[in-house]
Amino acid sequence: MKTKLLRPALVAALLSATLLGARAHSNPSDASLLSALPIAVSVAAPVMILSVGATMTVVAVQAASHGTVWVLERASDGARASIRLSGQVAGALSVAAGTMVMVTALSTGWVISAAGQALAFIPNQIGAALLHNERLTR
Amino acid sequence: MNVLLSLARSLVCLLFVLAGAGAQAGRTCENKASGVPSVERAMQLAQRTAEQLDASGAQVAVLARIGQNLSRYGLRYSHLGFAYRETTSDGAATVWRVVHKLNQCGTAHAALYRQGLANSSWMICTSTRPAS
Repeated sequence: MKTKLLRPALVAALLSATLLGARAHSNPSDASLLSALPIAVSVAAPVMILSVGATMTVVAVQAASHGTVWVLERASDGARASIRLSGQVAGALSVAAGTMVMVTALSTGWVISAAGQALAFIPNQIGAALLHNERLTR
Repeated sequence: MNVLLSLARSLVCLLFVLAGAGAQAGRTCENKASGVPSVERAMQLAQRTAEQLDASGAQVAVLARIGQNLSRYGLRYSHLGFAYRETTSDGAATVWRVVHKLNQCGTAHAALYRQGLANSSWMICTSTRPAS
């Protein structure tokens, strides 16, 4: 499979660790629902794999040192994407291999969902600018 | 004194008031699954909030919201935070960050957080009203 990494916009935005790397270590009340959703901090994927309405299968869920890695496979052609999700949200690990997910494109990124429930959010550059979570005091 | 006057001039109070059942009022301590439309609304409203803040020309703003009905206590707003414009580490863009105090779920403990507009429940911009 010829894999071309999405370096220019998507990956650059997602790898901006200053925006997303510092995660809160607890669950504060009054935080938004986005704080409860696993957020992608890096994506390695063939071009356009995150197309609107794409159906994919979670083929692997791996715990990593700083988060969880999902490997997704597109149903139509078998193309794969590796997505690293922020580490402080338990939901990322609760997704089982074999789960069918759908990609929904927004102006701020992509939502990965199953049966209508959002499982993770992959921000683009606009979305990444709106996301940051850092605890300042103990 | 000049610094204080300058800050006062740049401090804009923007009150994003919750109105309508469909608006997101921030996350409670319940772990409820979110539908795709909820995520879309949350991100759209955060984006709109950033656009309104950008259009205000302010460098610092006070954001308040009505997340729950506190009228029986004589209170209108349930939450407040200070938003400020920040330049990204690479200097390529400016973003809005909110510093506010959040309670930890299930405890009496609270801490200060610096969050993005999408993380911090400032997703309520259905109307702008003067402080009462």
